[in-house]
Amino acid sequence: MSVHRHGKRSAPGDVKSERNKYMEYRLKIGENAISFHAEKKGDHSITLSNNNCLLNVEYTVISKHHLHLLVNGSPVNVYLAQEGNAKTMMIRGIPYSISDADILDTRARGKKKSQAVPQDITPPMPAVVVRILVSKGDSVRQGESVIVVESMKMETTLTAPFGGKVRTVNVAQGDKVMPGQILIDIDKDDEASIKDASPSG
Amino acid sequence: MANRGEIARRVMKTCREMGIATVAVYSDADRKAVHVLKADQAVFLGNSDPAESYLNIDRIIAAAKQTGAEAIHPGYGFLAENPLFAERCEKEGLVFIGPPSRVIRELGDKTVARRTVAGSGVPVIPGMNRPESDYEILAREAEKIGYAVLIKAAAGGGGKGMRVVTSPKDFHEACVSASSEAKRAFSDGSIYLEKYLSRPRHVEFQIVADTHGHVIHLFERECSIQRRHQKIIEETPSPIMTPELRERMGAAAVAVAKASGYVNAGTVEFLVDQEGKFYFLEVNTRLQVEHPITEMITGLDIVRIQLEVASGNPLPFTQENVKSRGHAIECRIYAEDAEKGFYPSPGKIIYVQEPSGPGIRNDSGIYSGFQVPVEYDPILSKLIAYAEDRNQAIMRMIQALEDYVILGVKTPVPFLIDILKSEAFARGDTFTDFIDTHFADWKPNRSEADAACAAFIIDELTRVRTSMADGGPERVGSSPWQTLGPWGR
Repeated sequence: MSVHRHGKRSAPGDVKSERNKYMEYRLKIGENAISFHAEKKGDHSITLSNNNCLLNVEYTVISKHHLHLLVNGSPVNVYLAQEGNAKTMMIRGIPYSISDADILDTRARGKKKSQAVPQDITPPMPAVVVRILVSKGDSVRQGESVIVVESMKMETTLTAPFGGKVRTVNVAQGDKVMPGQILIDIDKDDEASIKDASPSG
Repeated sequence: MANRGEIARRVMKTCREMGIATVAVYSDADRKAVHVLKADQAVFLGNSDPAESYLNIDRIIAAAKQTGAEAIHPGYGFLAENPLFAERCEKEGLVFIGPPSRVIRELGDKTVARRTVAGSGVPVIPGMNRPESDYEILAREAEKIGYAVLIKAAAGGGGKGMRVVTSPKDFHEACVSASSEAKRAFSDGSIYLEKYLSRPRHVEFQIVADTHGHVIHLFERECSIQRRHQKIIEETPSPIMTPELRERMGAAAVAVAKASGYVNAGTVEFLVDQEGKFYFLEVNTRLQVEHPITEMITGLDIVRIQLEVASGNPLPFTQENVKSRGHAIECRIYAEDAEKGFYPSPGKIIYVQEPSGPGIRNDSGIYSGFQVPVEYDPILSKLIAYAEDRNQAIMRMIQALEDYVILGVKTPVPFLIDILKSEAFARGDTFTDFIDTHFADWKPNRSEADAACAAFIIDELTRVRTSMADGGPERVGSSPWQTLGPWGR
């Protein structure tokens, strides 16, 4: 499932296209966005700065998965791999998942809408369907268990994100399923039925 | 070798040392697994579903016959504690490296084991002594025992099919789910109930018994640090052990082994409550995942002992001349996300760098490029640190974990580091609720985000050059070097 970068990014501030020694980066690390102004100092040395810090970084590329850095003089080994949109940086056993916020924004704009709350019944990891608890046409309450999947011998029960009626069950017991795949479609109870359920007056 | 991954590899290592040729078996998902690559021969079993491969007795026996194998080592999990498999080996004239099928059957049914052990005078946890499939009867038993109760698989082990239920309203779904999980893990969905003891310690004794009536123990292992009832850190000696308690528990373990007619290597598990009283939990009739820590402190090779015993040789030592020295800790490295409830994290291992150095042992079933299958247990490897005392072993383990690089799947390495650095662990306050008590909402301390960001940017800037140096078209897509040309001068 490798995700390739495609298309040209619009260079922030156009500084990159001026072919000069400066670049601006806006990185997403966890929930935080951090901006850095990067300036090349020599063949194996750059300076990164923002409002909070100034980092002088000397670097040696050991392999495509290993960088040795001197960050303000302190040595650190960083092991890294590209995983989808993000790179994982491993430092002293701790992983940091970092992505380019500008590229993420470009992609997000391409999508119809963001999904802040999970609205789909989809497995959190690659898994196998072990039990389907509902059938087409069933009414389900919000939070009701609808399907059980198993990954690496661990069962996970997926629940209805909202009340409604099961429109389709898209998988069968024993199917291998992936995150993002919609296992069961539910037609959300419409406003009318919610109003019906609430006390009148 | 009727197993896969790290344990198949570990057993084959000893075989190789002893001049014994090895046959691996494998499924579709494991065509490139490490045990296949390390064996003298490998036989394909079938598709990735365990029922079609590692749990398929007919196919494993056929593989043994086809290759002229004389003995079968079952490892742990899969068929290791399946009496039908041991019995079938016996019938087919193959040596099963483990106890006789009768012993596996009796101890493997946890309820029969409870009856046998209670008869030998060793204390057992209050609960049912027969499995039950009627949920109504189970619910009544639960009321009788008193919540919280523990649902356990009669054929259980490794936490499969186990559920803690604190309230009657969750009881039914927990039974269904436990039984279904047990059915798939052990081909037997029977469940029973035990009283749930809060804050016990899990302390087990390694036993070895030969066919000449000698039974000895190889000291204890403390295995209280668990998540989802599965151990993640084990150590020996136990921080609570005193010579007197060791004497009494060791004698109880040997008594359990003798009462059941035990032969070969096994483990007698106990729970120890806060007053230091111990209760029999179960016997694992197999080589244990955490056997390496016992090997470290005794200098013995338990797989070699298993093979010697299976050949009919007497144990080469007595209880008196087995000595332990130093302290050993094992961390289990699973493919899972400790930040998200230990969800499994299958995927491709992009890069591995294993720790090494004095007192470090790493029993691994992975390599760079290996696809971790979704079908099997998520254990990737076991990291073991051995040192002169507990503090040194902890420090050594922390260093080794920090040096352990696995990219491509999530691992609990950062979580393990924080546990080992914690004061609670240093104090030896290791109870089975350790993680819930001290690490419930754990997140790693990402204190080196600046360096990580620097590395990200440097990688972006150097990626094309790196890929040229490695000779591969690894990097695809645009980069500043491609789109913008070199840095300005």
